[in-house]
Amino acid sequence: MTELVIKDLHVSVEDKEILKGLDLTIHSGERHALMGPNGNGKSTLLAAIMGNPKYKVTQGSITLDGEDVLKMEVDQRSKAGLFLGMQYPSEISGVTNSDFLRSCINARQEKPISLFKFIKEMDKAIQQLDMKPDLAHRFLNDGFSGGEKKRNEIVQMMMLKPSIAMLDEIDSGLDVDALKIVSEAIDQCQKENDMGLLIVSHYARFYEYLQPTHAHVLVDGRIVVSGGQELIEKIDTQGYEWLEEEYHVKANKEDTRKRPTSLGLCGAKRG
Amino acid sequence: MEKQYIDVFQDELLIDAPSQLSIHIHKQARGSLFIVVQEDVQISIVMDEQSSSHILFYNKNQDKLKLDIHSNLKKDAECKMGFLDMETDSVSMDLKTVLDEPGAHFELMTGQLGQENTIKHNNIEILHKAGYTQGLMQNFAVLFDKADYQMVANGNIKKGCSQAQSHQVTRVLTLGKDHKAKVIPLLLIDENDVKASHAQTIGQPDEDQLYYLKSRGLSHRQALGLLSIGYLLPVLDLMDNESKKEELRQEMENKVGLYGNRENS
Repeated sequence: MTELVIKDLHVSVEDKEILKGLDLTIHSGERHALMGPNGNGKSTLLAAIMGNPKYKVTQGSITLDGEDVLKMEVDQRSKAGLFLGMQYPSEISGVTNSDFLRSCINARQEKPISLFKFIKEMDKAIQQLDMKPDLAHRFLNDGFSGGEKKRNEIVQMMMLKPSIAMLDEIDSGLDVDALKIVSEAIDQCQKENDMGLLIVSHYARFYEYLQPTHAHVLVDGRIVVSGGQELIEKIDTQGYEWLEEEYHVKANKEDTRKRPTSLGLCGAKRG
Repeated sequence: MEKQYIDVFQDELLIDAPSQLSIHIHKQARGSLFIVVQEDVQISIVMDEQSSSHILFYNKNQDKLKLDIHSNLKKDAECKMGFLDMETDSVSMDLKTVLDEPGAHFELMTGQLGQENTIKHNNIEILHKAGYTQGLMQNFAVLFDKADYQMVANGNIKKGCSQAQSHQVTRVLTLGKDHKAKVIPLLLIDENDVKASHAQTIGQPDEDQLYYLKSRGLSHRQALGLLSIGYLLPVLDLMDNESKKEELRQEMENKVGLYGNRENS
């Protein structure tokens, strides 16, 4: 049984505090839905757990089965069993998907994976995600559509078999059919590996497919309420405004004001 | 040493003593050559009309290497040439290809790994002496601490060579400190009715890319290695022998640290 424990977590980005004392515990087999208005710290939490160097943990602790995650490098966190399906996966030209994944698998085991086993597992994942068979030979996310990138994140999750997987708006960019395919793949992957899941999404349909066992709402850097399916349904029908009244919190609003647009510098010579 | 090739050919040559090598690929002959270079060598290549070849040079010299390659391509001859260099010693390469007659087509792809304190200086030229000729230079290099890389790439189109095309791309990935990278793309064009282009990038790996690779379990060194592979691997497309290709690829992965052998460096 794997256990990820987050206690009193404070995280800053460029000296601005985003997470202000967050507590959360995730066990194997559980599915946690993390909701909240934009700009209140959901992605920050996932990035901080994974060790993104842009996010600075100023207070609190994260442990995985008692091991101090904050002392681990990013790659060590992955090897320890953490996985983050990213909202904006990087495009890396010149590196094929198969080379990348084979290297990642070999990096976490003493003996390199046999080519036969690797191809078999990758073909299975590609088929399950209903992706084109040439995926293995294409450069990593290079020229992929938004939906392909998200599905490729799930392919990676299936191949790497983490013990705790975090999915950051993995449903954005997916059409209705793809959403179902991805949901089924996540479901099966969890059943096969008994992993814990932390899912960030704005869409009730995704949660309908995945049926989270726990739900949390993150407002202004803290989890203000936790529950189950009933909480997801309430957010879906009533939005987030009721939380401010009931829990005396104020959600951060994303700055949507129009800013002046620079047209660049004038190239004409002066004088 | 002199080598003659007719009809269909596939050959592997080993240069294990300082020498001069002359290669003649006869009319309509087509095939591939894999040339392992362990010593300084001067090579002259003549490709007769309508011949076609893939020629891959592989540096295995354990000391400073001086490589001098001069090629002449006749009517409609087509040559794809590669140079793969992952050795820890310095290399000085002079390469000149003359496209003598219409329809001659030459593509060069170099992949060089500038390990610590090595000097890799290259001077290459594709000279167009006839119309309807095509030249393409693609140069890729990965540099570690104190490596010194220089690439002078010259596409030279003489007067009267209408419809000639000369293109070049150089990409240098800098991974260490105190390295030097100097790329001089030249296009000397004395004819109006031609197409020519050059592009170059020199830079460090993207921080987001590195984070992405590390988040899947690759160490910093392995992540850099994987990015390096992306620069060097295209050269292996010129290798027709699949088992040899896989062997070279494994060696490449090892040299760039994909297996963590340079983890502490």
